[in-house]
Amino acid sequence: MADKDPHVLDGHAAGFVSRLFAFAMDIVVVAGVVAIGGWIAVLVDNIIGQLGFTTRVSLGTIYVFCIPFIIGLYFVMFWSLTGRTIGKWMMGLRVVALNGHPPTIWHSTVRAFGYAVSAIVFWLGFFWVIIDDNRKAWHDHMARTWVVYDYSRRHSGEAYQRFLEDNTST
Amino acid sequence: MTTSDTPAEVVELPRRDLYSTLVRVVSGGIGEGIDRLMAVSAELDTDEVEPSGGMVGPVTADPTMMAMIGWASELPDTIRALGESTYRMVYPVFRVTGVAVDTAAYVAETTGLASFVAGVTEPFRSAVVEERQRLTDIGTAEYLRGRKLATFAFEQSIDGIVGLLSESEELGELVREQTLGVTGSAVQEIRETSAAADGLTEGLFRRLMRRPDRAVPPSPPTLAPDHG
Repeated sequence: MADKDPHVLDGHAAGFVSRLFAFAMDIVVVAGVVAIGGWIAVLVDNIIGQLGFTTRVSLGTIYVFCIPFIIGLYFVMFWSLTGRTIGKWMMGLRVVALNGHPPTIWHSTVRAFGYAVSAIVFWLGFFWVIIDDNRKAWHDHMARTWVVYDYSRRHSGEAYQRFLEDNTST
Repeated sequence: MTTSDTPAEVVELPRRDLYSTLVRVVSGGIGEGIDRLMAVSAELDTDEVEPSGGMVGPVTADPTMMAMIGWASELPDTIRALGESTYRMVYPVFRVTGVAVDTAAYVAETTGLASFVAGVTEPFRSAVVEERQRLTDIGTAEYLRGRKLATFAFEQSIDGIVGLLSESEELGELVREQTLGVTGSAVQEIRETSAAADGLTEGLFRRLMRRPDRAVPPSPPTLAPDHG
């Protein structure tokens, strides 16, 4: 498919394997962020304890409950700002709304919530990419987003401009 | 003669050459390094470390080395205990010797022998004390300068290395090219392979579900050719 021109797939919906790799990378990154945050929380908790303050609930416990929000924030922030998380950037993918631009914060939030929905039934929502005609997972349907190949390094939309030029000139 | 309070102003220091500078760096470096290491070591003493099981990595793989470190750590206590037991054993000897010295001093004092000995040894004793004081003043002044010099040398060497790395365009370009080249090609390879795998996976499932194959993947409707 992508033998010589790396941009030949730009603008087309990405398949299951690419998305799986991107998701795995994001999991690694998020795990690192969560681990660093946990370390800081424990450190601060220890300092508070050393200072003689006593709390009914430890900071570590509060942090554990914050982890889902941290994970959600990671995805929503990256999707709404650039359309690509670190994993998607590595794999040359981008999340776009129907207008070709990065999804809004609302659509990103819905998509992040959709991750949980997709995962809840044995990750069936993620595997749906394989059989869906438009290569969309459940969370893509919920948020009305697409995940497309975009090997460009610069701003969002470049790939689509190239896609349009290539396809309208013929 | 000078005092140790104001050594730098009046002490005649050795002339400056490579040797004296090296002495300064080494002595100052040792002093500065020991102080810093002692400070870090004191901080580590406050940490709670499990005697075993809390350590991970290669250190747990060699119990002989651990035993040697433990022995070395306890060495001062061992020497101190040895000294105390030795002292207890030889204490009677010390007591007898002390009594003998006291007796000899009393005899020398009463007979005028002590004054005679003191008169003979006083010039030598004064010379030794004066020489020791002079060297102490020089050492004190050199030690303080040495610590400053060692700190300066350390910071300069770090600055020099960082400066070399940041200012050397050739080196920076080389590192950039190598890194980007290798990383870029590897990333591109992964992308192409996974994109091909996307098509293969989808094709397999479409065949299993008796759907027709398609040449190109779908696109968002707003980006379709007839839409533009």
